[in-house]
Amino acid sequence: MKAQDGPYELSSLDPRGQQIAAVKFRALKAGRFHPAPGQPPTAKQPDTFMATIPHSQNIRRLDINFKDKRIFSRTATKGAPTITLDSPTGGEHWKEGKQTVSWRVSDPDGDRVDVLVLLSEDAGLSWQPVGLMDGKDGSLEVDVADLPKTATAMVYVSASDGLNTSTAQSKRAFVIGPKPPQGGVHGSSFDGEWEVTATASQGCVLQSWKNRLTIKGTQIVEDGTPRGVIAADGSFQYSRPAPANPSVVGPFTGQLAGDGGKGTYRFPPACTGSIILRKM
Amino acid sequence: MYQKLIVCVGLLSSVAVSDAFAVDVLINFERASNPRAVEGAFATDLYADVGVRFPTSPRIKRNDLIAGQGLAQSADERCPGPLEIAIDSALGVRAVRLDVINRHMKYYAVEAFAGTDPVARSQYFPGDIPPLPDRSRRVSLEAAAGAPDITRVVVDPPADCFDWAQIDNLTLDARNPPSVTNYVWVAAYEITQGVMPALTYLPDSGRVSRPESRLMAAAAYPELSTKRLPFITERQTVARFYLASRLADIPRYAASLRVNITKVDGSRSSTTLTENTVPVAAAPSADEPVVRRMDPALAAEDVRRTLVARRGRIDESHDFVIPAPALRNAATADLTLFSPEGRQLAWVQVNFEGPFTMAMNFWRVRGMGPDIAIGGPVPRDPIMGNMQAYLGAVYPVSGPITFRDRGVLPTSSMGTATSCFSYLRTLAAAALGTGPPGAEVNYWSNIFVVQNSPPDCSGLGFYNTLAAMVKPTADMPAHEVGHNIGLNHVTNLHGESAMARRDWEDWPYSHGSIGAVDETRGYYDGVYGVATALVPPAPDFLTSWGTWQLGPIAPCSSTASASLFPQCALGDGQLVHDFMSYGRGGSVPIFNTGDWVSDINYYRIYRFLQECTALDPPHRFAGPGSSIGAFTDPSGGCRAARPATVMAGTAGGAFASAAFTTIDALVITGVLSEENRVEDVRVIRKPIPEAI
Repeated sequence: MKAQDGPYELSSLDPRGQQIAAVKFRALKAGRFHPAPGQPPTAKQPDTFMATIPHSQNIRRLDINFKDKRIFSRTATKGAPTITLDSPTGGEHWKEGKQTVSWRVSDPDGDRVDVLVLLSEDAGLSWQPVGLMDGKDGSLEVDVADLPKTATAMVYVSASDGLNTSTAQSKRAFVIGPKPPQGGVHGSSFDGEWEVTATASQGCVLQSWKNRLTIKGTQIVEDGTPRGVIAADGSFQYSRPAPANPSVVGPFTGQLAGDGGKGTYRFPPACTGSIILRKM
Repeated sequence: MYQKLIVCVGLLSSVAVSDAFAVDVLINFERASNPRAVEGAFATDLYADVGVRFPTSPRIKRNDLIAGQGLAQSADERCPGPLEIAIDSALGVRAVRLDVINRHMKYYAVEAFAGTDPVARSQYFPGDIPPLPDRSRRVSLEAAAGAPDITRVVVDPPADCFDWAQIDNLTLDARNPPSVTNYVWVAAYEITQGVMPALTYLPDSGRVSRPESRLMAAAAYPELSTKRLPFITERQTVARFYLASRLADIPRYAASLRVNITKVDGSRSSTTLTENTVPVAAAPSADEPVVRRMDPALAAEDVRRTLVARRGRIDESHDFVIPAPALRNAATADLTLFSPEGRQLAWVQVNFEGPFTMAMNFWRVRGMGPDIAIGGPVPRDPIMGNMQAYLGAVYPVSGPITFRDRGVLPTSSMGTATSCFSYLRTLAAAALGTGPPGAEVNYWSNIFVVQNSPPDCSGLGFYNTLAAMVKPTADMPAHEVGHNIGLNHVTNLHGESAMARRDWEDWPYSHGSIGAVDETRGYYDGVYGVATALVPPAPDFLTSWGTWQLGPIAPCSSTASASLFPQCALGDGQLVHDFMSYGRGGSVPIFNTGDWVSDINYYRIYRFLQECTALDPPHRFAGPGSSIGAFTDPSGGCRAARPATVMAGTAGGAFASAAFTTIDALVITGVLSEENRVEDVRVIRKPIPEAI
């Protein structure tokens, strides 16, 4: 994470009270709000803050210090919530209308559980929020008209009881919107065979490897298997198994221009790298 | 029968009968005779009104020997070529007299023609004829009895390329005097991309005029004197010319504008426009601009006041909209205004910067605050379109601002909290790491639209943080995103600093306006805006640039001199305020708001997009100890502009999405009380880019 600065420090601690990570932060300046018409100016408002710290299963306490003085501490309750994503788990096709994201949460301590629902349109490379829900809701209805159209959608849910958390996500991609054509419905300048050269950045078993893709219209195909889609402007996204461990599937995104292109890939849990594409 | 009439061409200011047999047309190339006879100006069509043209495009040039201006074929003294005078045959010219000045006493010749037939000739040989004291000579050429009328005169300069031959005091004896012409000139003009603090007057020197765009507040704050509004490539550009006439108003004067655009790769295009604007009205009618009579003896201050009052009306100017697509990758544009007869009235050159681009993630929040009980009305797409148009109009960006609709965001976990602060920090945490809505933008942020906000605000934007919450009005994102990029409130005259903090600046313009005239402070021209909207159908921007509604935005909503000068006499409710003020007044057409952008904040946003520098100029007007200087934006949403020489859409900037990895993170938000107590802490877990 990028180093931050500020007079406040957020620390995460393990069960023995040992610091796991710490980040500095500043207050988000408040008092910059636009009062509602006709409303008298309100009293002075407090500042707010937002800070991020790496998650670890060992986190049992969060502390906030201001100039070395502890001003906040929260200790995890005994039991952590659990969450299961029931839908979509992968392979669905949300063509139109209302669709449902559903989950089940439980908390052994009976704590209130908040659920954050995220959607990825690029097979997990990036995420956007689609719901900030009360865990008891159990489901969230979404309108396909409001969602990005993609063949590589995934859903992620996380449950939080205030410190303990758990997450779940679609096991594989699903489709939102009209299904991409299975063949070359329309030709494009990118149609043809492409050689992909991958170079690992960190956390990978293989440092470099190559494979081939076929582009037909909007489809990206590998070894006869549809892997993803490419847009008219050359931006693409697809998923494929890791060469060293086919049980792990990772997202690839990038951009083609002319007879070349670039992109990035990621295989869970920590393998990342870049790719260069060349038309054959 | 001949009459003798001395006519000071251009202004026709004096008429005197001095001979019963001929009419003299006198051209002396002084500005006193013709407002456009400025040093450096082409004289090609400057005297077409009286039947005299200079087809070889000589320029008006000062000559110290005669302590005034004459006409020279070229600024280059080497081999300038012949200077030709074309005379309308209808004048029936029988004699031509002119002064010829040659500093080095070289050979030259002056010859009169009827068509191509020589009529009379005069030559000067060094030492042959004693020159006059100022090294000039009065040359007289007369058509002999029975010879045809003179229609052309050619002045041949020295053949050895040593010097030019400058002419002055051209006098024609004509049988048929020119009718007294209602001479038209450009009294001033402005080139605006939404806001413009200054009128530009055609220069006293130099043939090309470049638009003035200095911040009006520089008159009171000298540290601003080097700051000028930019002209942004691929941005709607409006050229407004304020024409004046010598004798009487001229309705429906059909001037035309030739636009030559040079792009950053050196390619060029040319388009000639007739006025392509209509007023903003329910049923738009043609914009029929009038040329207003203006007494050339009018004092400069009165001229300026007259023109400032005209800025608030579309029919008082000749207006041309150059649409943004036509200016994609533009480096310069040469704008040449022509009279209906084809006479050049003005030549303006505009240099462009950029492109500067922006994008917004856009969530429609449901189930929030007062809405939770009813399941949440959801702001719909037209809202997004209005916001997008307004934001693009008041922020100095190229092309439309990309609005990425991220869909509906239900928020049942918020409970019944009633604080905007609580909502926005939670929404911001949920959106953290979502990423920019597209590649290749100079700045992006996150906008959360709520149908009914909690009762303690209408909108909220954190400073230098990628989060703004707004109600569905066209102008609110401009205000709250303004906070996101560091802008403070403008004045505290409408309760802006509700929390008793100094989050406002002492504004130089009256009551938070975009820039009302205040002659006591040197604010003479006013900061005027224009709003534009395309009249359907959309053109292809290749063969047609379309028709545009054009709405001038006057900072002080009046065109009456008594209300405008020496300073705006209207109340707060009739001032158009800067969008960072809470004040709403006046009238902003098309968007139906009461706020627009001042030149100061327009410049600040430009600097932000250019170098990610927030607050340039600093908020230094609030007094000692409270100023906030320029600083680099820490939000992570800004990326400095790329060099202007890179063509948009080419491979040079194709791969903007840098490789990134995500980490499993906890995002913690809360409230910090004044006593540094931490309250209302929320913890969410989500994958975020490691770079955050």
